[in-house]
Amino acid sequence: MSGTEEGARGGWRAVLAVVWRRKVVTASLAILLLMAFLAVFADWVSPHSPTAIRAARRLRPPSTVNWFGTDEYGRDLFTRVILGGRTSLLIGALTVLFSCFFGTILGMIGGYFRRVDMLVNRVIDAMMAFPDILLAITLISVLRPSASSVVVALGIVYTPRVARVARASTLVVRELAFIDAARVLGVPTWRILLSHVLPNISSPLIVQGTFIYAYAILAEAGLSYLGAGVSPEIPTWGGIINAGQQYIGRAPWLMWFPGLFIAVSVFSLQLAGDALRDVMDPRLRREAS
Amino acid sequence: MKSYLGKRFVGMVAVMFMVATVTFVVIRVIPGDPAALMLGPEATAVDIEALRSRLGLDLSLATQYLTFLSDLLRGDLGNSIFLGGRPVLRILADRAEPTVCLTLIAIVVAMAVGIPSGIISASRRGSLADQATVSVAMGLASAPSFWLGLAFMQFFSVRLGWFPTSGYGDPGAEFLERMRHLALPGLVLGLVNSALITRFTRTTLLDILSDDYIRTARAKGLGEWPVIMRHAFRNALVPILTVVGLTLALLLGGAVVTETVFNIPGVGNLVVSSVLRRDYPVIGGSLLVIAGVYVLVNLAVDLAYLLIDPRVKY
Repeated sequence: MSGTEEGARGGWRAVLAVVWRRKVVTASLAILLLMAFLAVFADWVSPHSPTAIRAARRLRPPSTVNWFGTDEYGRDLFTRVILGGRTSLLIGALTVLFSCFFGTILGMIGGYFRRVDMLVNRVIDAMMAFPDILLAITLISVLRPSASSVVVALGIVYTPRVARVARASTLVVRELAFIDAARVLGVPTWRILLSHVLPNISSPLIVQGTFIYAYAILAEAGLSYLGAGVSPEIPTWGGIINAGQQYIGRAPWLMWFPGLFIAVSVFSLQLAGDALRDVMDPRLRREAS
Repeated sequence: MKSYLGKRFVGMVAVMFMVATVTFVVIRVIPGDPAALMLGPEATAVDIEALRSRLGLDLSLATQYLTFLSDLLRGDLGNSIFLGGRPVLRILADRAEPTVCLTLIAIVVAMAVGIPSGIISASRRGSLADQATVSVAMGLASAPSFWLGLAFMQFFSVRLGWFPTSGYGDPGAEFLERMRHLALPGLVLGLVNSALITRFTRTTLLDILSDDYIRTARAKGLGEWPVIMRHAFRNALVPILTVVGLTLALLLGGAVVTETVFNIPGVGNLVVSSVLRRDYPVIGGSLLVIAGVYVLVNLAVDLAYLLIDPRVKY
């Protein structure tokens, strides 16, 4: 077993140990897993159809039959909220993958190659000057609204945030002796970046990815609320709140449940991100444990 | 000092140039044919061609880019396609007041909530008050602003009747009446964004409270509050100011959603309606102006360090 693998295993053990010790973090991860489970197995978990319209049962409050009540078309809100979770959590996860992939490449190029660093840095600065939701909504309008456009738009919006972290970490790692040694031994640059730089900058990137997951869920909800996200036929947390806001006086549960699901999932992700940062940052590790 | 200002100015111009380039790419290059996209699927080829010619889209991309930059330098952000062909800059100027006032109210709320709660939290580290403050701050940062806005509107406006439910007052309404309409949205936007200030104030103060000069201050018998306010907080001001600047920039984005929830006729509302109408000149102009304000706020924060910390010299 290589030293890197041993280190990685030790690192993950430390993460798991801290997660177990901090009960709040354990609880938040359990909530996230439960939400993911509900989202994946929504069709089996709920006996109701998310699209079946029953005019006679419209705007019913929460009951043993309809746990979260029903919406303006008599559809079961619990089913729609957990299906909304499927859309929101999936879009969030794909946004993280998109932004981490391109952000890491951009950041490593900026951090490793001094000649292009100035350009990369200016691009990052310029992209970060646009408010998240404003740039996302504009990109979606030019890409035409769809779930994949939301992923691409949010991915582009969050790529500079990953790139900034990747660039800063690469700037530190590239000055270390083992990188010089690899260069002297004639290891190709792409291999130095992939095998030596990337594993050593992965910790801050994982932490940043966790926070971006939280921001992406909030941003997706905002876009769906504004009617600029995925198609209104697909249930999303933001879309359900948008549709339910005109019944806020008569049926406040239409707003409470999807909003609570957004807030709890974002809260849990932020807690998980904080815990990961504490464990992965050597300065904070002692305090965390 | 002069050389720093010069460097900072050059950096700002470079970022603004990149901002303009990104805007050009987003509204002119990615859509393929912006004219067809703006007019929708039912437009005839003649209509599309006429709009392409009017917007200069029939020219090469390089020519369009140079024209875009030269217009920008002259302060010409183009004309709206749908709002009677009015100049974008004029439209933005007309919509600026509610957005600027909303942002200012929100930043005052965010600071008034964030800084004291961060101080209390840091001064009682590990206590119930500390844990409650951190949890509430994280909860506020996790709640979608539109959701909190709707909840506040339902409770404070509809049920208690303390605030108007939406809008910006009748045309020609008194300034105070207009501000009354912005009070609740400003409170919501400020509360949601206070979380960052709370957490940052707490972390910065905790760092400073472990410094030697704080131990010295305590050793000479100074009370805990004078230690925190006179020694720790004053030294935490620079990092706190940085995060206040960042929050101000975040508020510009937050205003887009909040203005829509409360139906405030500001720049955010304009952007959302322009996106739904695909009025690209207005979208592009708004992006440029808001990003420009963000860059200027960052510069102002850097320069403000000089005023609040005599040790900072550029």
